[in-house]
Amino acid sequence: MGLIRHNHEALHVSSPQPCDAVSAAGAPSDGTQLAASLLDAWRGEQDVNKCEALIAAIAASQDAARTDALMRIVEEGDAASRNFAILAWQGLPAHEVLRGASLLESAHADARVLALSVLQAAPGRDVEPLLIGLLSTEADVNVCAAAVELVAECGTRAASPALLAARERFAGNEFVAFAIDQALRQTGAGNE
Amino acid sequence: MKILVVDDSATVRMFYRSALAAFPAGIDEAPDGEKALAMALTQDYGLYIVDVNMSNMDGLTFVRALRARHDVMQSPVIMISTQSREQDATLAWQAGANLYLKKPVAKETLQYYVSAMTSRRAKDEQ
Amino acid sequence: MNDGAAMSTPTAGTHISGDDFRKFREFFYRRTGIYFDDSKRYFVDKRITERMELTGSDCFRDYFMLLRYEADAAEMQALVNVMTVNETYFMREDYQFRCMTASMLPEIVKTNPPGRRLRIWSMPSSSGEEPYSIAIHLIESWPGLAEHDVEIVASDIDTRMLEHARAGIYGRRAVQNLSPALLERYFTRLSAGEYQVCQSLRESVRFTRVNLNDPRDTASYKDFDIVFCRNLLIYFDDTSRASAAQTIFRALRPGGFICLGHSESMARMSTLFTVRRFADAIVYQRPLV
Repeated sequence: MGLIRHNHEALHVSSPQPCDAVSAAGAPSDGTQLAASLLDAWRGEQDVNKCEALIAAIAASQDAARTDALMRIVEEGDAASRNFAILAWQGLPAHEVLRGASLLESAHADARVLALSVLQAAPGRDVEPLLIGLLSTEADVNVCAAAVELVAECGTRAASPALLAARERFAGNEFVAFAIDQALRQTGAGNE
Repeated sequence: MKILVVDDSATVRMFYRSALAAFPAGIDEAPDGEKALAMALTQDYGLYIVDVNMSNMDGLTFVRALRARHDVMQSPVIMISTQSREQDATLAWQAGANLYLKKPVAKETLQYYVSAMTSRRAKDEQ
Repeated sequence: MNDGAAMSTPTAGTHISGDDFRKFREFFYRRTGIYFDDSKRYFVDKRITERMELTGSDCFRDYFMLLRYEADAAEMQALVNVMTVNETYFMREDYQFRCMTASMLPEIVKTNPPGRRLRIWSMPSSSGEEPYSIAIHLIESWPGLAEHDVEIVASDIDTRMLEHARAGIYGRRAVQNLSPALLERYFTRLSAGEYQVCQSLRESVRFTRVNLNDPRDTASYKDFDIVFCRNLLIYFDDTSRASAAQTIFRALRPGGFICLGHSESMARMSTLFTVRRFADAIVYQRPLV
């Protein structure tokens, strides 16, 4: 019973089955701590396909701590793992996406930029206040630029004061000025 | 021949476009390496300006793919990144980039290098 | 712009500026990976205008607020549907698959002779996302699969598409509607963001070349319980459409169903079919007698 199988020419698949990595991580007997054990497995894994499989498994787990695990991967991982973790995180429900905001507190500018990538998937009304806060004080030019872009997309006129403050803070930087002018236009500042 | 700007930020692409407004042949844009490769396959570009950090095929992967193809014009590549560690520049050279710049790039800087790299080509072709 | 006149021109509020288009394009690209170059301006503007009218948005900015600030998920999905009518991806228009397991198959099995295999035809199958989605959905959601054999035939006129479908290798965009769990279960990750449908699933779909307009091709396609013919007939002229509807009618077993694309209606094509309004979808049925 089930789906009828037809014969196809054998197709060569070069990569090893990544699913072994997931089962090797082992599900703890009581179902909790799954994200943590998958995270441990990810830390020990070199193969990019297996890393992706583990990240996908974390996102798929019903573990309430899954965003903590994703956050560790975003902070510690190489480009491939980072990007995949961000993608997986963006697919979670809005309230979990918003947990990415805690990375905005990081001392590392790169981590703050990554936080903004995650937050791109959250509703504008939830993200705008965070961006306004960030833009009022952010000192790193690349973080500022990323925040300006996100505000341009999802923000409103409420963001204008923060944008103008940032424009002053980065007065010498022509890209930031360009981006902020763009953002002011796109959020309707100055329009009736 | 046109310049192809590859960056996932529309603001950055617009900024480069405004910096290079005087470039006679004009600018094309692609938001990621995948689309950039598709465009490079259908027309010749005199220069590529490529961001390192893009999803959907990042800059290094794109440049390697570009350099590996014989049916694509092998023009200079300026690689641009927010990272400035030495190993990042090395990865860019190894991938086949000609120049590595750190973001944010000033308009004047971009104009200078674009002019140098495209006029060199014009000289080569004479 | 609102000049305060008592009657604004119909197009004034629905005007989409170059800046609006660029803003929309960037947003849509970030969400879906689909990038509309400038040549697609007309296509995009037209569809945004439709959605604006349907959502009662007076201007582009209001509509965009709905999408991005309020993050109206239902509107986002509707928008993606109209923007991607030419795109294919896994679990596209999945409400029809739900209808298949919740309503169509339960009816079909009531009149199915013992031992007879059920037959589903995906036509056109394009690059294979649709028939593989059908298979995945059956495995995941149809308990009846334990008692019935199901054959999935997938056909297209384009042999390169068929080869692509048989190989079953897809990029991120095609699989983005799949949950991580489904991706894990049915796909193998190849390098550089490519996913291959696992072998047992690939073997569960038979791909064939068929030109729906050529009776020599279609003559042997009979006795199907469900046909998925989505977003193909809209490209046919009236005559070809009517003739295709007849071909599909003949391909169906009495009581069999046909599912069209979400904006298509069989009523305009042919009177042979009966409309069936199920909870999940409207489909068309070849009458039992």
